[in-house]
Amino acid sequence: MWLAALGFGTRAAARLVWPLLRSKIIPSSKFSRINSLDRVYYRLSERLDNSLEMFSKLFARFVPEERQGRPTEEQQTLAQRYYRDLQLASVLPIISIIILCVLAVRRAEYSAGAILAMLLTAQLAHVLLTRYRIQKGLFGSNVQEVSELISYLIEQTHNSGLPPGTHVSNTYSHQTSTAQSFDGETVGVRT
Amino acid sequence: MNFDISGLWRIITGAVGTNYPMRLGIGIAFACLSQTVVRVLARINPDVVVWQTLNDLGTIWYLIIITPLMFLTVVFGKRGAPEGAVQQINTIRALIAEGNFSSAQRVMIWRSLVEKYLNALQPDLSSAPRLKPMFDEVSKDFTPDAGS
Repeated sequence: MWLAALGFGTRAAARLVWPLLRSKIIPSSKFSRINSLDRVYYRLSERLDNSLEMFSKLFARFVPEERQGRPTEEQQTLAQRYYRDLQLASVLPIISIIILCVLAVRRAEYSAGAILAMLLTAQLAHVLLTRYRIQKGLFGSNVQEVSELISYLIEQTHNSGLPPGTHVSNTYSHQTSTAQSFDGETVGVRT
Repeated sequence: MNFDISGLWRIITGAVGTNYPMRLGIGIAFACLSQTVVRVLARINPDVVVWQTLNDLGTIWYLIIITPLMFLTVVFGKRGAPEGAVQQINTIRALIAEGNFSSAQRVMIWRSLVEKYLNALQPDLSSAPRLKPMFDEVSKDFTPDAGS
């Protein structure tokens, strides 16, 4: 993205500056040389355009295309609840890892400190990325996130004490545990 | 190719146990605790070779060996999505790979799968309602200073 911005900025600046230079600074006796420079400039500009187009196509593969499909309100609520539990569960491990990391460094055990720092970074990145994707409405649009959501949903419904509406029916539980559907219907889900 | 950088990132971070933060924290704490225990035992029994050998190991080895033990039940047990859901996800993945769907279609398919699971939820009418929270709410409504 930065490369693309740099490329666009350079091109825009060159398009602004070059005519100014050509009209005011460079004397008219040197137009023949300017013409050749013009050709070089436009050829370079064309090449830059092509490379930028190629880069944007390449970048489009990594930019979340999930923006095209928005989650429903129920899915968003489920994702926010998942994030809240993940956040609560992450507080204590993060604090303990920080303390142990400091202790390891103070005891000059730098390898252990590095491992703990890596785990801390991974945990923080996981939580922050989850938060970012939920806030942007992107969570639940790939297979990993979908499996996490389904695991969370089923795990939560096995716990008691939740308000009505979050309990999976006995029929559903029976279908998931025993009956693999024979008629090609989705496995274990009531339609 | 069904490539998604956020999914890849989740695989990488999930491999070090970030999906189960409490297990990760307990594993790390248990590793450090076991090292302390070994140190104490080595101090108490200076003639026992095993304790002395274990005492010579650095903290990193305790972390590497003991922390993954907390995830054995996750890896080999029935944690995570149930088998039916995993089969379903794998089937959809294969269909997506075969069908050469666009990214927007893939997203819609995954979202519809979550929607199906959400639709499968039903109110638990078998359990009796908890009357005390409801009574507390009603009593708050009748309190004269409730709005202030």
